[in-house]
Amino acid sequence: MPIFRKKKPEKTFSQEEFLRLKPVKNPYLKWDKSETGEAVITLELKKTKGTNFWSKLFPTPKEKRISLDKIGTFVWERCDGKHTVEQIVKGLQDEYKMMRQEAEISLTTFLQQLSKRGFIGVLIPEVKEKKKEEPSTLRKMKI
Amino acid sequence: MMRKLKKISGFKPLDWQGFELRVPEDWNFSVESGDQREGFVRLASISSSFELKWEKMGKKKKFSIESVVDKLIEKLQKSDKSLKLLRKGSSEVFGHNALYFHFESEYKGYGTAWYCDKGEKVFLGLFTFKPEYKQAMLAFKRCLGSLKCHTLDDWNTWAIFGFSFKTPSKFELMERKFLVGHTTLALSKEELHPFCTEKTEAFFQYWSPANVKFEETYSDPEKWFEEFYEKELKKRYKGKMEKEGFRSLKINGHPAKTLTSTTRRGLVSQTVSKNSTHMWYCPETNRIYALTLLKGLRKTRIVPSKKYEAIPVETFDKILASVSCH
Repeated sequence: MPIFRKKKPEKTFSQEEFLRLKPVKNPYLKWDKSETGEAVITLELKKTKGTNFWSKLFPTPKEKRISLDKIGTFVWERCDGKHTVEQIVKGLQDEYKMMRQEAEISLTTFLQQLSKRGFIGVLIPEVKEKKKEEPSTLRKMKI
Repeated sequence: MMRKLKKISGFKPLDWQGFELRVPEDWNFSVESGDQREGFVRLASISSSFELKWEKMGKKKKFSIESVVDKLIEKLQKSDKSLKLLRKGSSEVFGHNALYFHFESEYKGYGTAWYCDKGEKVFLGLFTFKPEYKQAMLAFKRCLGSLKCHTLDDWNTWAIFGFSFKTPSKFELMERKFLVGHTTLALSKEELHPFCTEKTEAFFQYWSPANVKFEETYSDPEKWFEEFYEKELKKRYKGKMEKEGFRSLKINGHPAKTLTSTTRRGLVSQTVSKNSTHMWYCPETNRIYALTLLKGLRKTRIVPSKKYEAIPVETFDKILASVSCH
């Protein structure tokens, strides 16, 4: 019965695995570059019964345009299935003189947001067995 | 002229809460808490992690380093039943007698502990690494060999994320924010006097990548202040700001601007602060930096306080001269 069906756990990656992923743009998405060189992603808005009704009375937009900033455009252009996350991180470091840690964290967050919205997918390399967590920290230890 | 940081190739400085350390470049600063008396930092890379904990013991507290090490081993064995203790011995860290132990489970590692009599603090270090990390021992030895657990001149260095500066050791880290592309550190010292409180503060911030975040103004600190930073400073130092004007100078070889200003707030109980805000763009790191040195006084208006109003010029000059942004 459906109510007893267990939810499939979401796929998670270790840091090493994540850096080897190759993000790729959703091929059904339309995008182009604005006059200022920034990527603009065009989304067709879904037609529902509600929007169909209101569109007869008022003009409703048929599409939504999402504009990325300079750094977002830089990353978006490299989501081509050929560049690994590691290569994009290095690119950010070279182009914008970001620190490794900053580039990795901001790229990870951005790719997560793109992935949640269905703008990108990832090509997964061979997955290694996950290792046990390291021993616990000194943090809570009282001397 | 302040002593410049010694560079070891492949290593970067991490100077924090009164200690100085050189760590491999791929170790990321991931967790920190506490203050100079008691605190903790954790650095991690893909193949290893290093944790350092310190606690001020004082003369009354009874302890022994052997019992501290035994307690740590016990804790590790409780959390990982497969952990095997391979070796225990004695060593030296920055002239102090230390104990170390070597352990193995799915990971390998070294623990060490020592007592620093200069700072009256016990230090605990724990280094764990994946067995395939061939450079582990070398990295750990260099790291531990570079560690200075106490200062020699009553000044603390703060070096993290590619920048560094020094403050007197009496300055406590009151505020820290680590965001992607933006870091804030506020260090201050407060002294209570009859009817007034004296405060001296160094408020340090940077933003990156500057040429993207502040496309129009990043190369002109004066314009950047007027269009962005003035609002930020007014949020922090509430009250009426009287600007005394900009002057040019060089910080770490970069053209910079300094704005001196006075902020006043309150009627009966008044807070007055005299600030000098230094701002510059560093092309090597693509960051805009801002360092505000403040001398503040909180007092009842009618109480005379000329004695406590003097700006510590020598201290502020030393802090500014110690700044390294790349």
